[in-house]
Amino acid sequence: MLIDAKTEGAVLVARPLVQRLDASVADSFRGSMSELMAAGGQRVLLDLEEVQFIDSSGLGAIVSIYRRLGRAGALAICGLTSPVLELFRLTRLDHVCPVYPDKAAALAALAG
Amino acid sequence: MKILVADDSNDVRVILSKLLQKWGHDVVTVDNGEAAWQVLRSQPISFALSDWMMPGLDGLELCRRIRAADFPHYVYVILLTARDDKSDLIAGMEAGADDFLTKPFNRDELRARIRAAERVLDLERTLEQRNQHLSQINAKLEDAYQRMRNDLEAAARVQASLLPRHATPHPGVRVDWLFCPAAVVAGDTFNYFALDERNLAFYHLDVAGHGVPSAMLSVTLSRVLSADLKAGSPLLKFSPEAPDRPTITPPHEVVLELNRRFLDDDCLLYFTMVYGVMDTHSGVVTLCQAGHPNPFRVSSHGEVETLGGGGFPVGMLPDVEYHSLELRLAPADRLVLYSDGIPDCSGPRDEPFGTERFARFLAELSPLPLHELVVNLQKRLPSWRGNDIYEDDISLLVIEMQ
Repeated sequence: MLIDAKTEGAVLVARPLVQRLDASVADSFRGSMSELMAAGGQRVLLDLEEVQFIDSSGLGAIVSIYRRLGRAGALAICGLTSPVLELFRLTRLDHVCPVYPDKAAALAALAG
Repeated sequence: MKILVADDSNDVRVILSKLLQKWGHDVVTVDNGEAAWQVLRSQPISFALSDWMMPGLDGLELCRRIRAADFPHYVYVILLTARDDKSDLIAGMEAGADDFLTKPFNRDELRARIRAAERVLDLERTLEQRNQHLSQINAKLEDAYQRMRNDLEAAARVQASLLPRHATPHPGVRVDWLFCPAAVVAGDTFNYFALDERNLAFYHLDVAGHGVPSAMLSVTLSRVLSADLKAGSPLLKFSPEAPDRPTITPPHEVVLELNRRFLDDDCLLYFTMVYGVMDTHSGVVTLCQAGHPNPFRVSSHGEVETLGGGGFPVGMLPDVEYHSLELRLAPADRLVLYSDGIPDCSGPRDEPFGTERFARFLAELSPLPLHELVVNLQKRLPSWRGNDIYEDDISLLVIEMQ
């Protein structure tokens, strides 16, 4: 799956370039993110600004990244479009995964 | 290689036979086209050297018959001819000849043309073997696919058998439902059953993903969340002091226990659900919403109230808390549980059906009998979508207070 990935300071900024993060791309998203994290990305900013829809498989992939980073690393999420934000609220994941209103705030939190 | 020689001249047959045998080939000779045709039809010969001009069936007609026949192998034909006119060669090629040898022929040229024929025939044989191999593989795949298809359909029947029966009555309530799986087997499941003479348990759940692994988990869950209320069921609490009088487990504790039992560290097979208990005498409902779409309470006057404020999915995160909420259904009130397949059902230009449209639909149909609601939704969604093939399971469970 196409992910725009770059390093800003010590942070891996990953921006999935899909409108739908669903079952058809979830496995490939998991695989690509695993490779990026294995290559040293332990502080990860997931920028979801392109994503308009996340299904259960896509959500599972995001939470598995959060759980995998665990205590050793850190995840921040930004760029939530309104349907995605609604899903995060419904599943309370906005209480678990650190969600920031914009990229600057997320980067600042990961740097701190 | 076995070679058929067809020529009405005895001299040509003798010379060719001697040469070809000297070069290691088996030779069958005939003196006319009809005899050549009979030999080719009865023996697996892939190479013919035929005279063009023969009485009766000539070389051109022999070529046409060979090309029109459905032999299981290719027949390479060299026409022997005194003609070397361009238009003759074209006529020969159109009839299906592969090559030509001008009489009187030169033996080196004959040998070279036979080698060329062998190369083509070798290639043809290799391709034929590969084709046969592929056909066998194809047949095996077709067979395996058919078996998997049959197994899936058997699994779908098992799943359907676990759903409540429409006729199942429960005093004090009316219940109806709709279920349209996206693949053959589904990740959605739901049920309702009596916990005791007064209390009705109900749930609606949606396992992440589609297909067999999701369906297997949903079948497992429908076994755990069943009317088989013996010790070990998470739905009741059995105390050593009063083993015959278990108490009803509060819904959020049931969900907490499911989260503990079904935690998947890879977050692949988790599920969202609503589990609740309804006191059918008083209409008081206690329910726990876990990552599932917000249920609706629809009054008989068409007022739609969205219930719940979300909750964590089940089996995704360890050590999370769940909460129960309480409400009271007035007579004719409906409690509507559904999976995200309904609001996410995309129609023209990928526009989702949406929660608001679904709520309006429930309001408009509130005066109609409950079964009419289900029948109408079963028509409304395909007409929104343009077909009845869904990307996600569509399911709905409605409980109406009497």
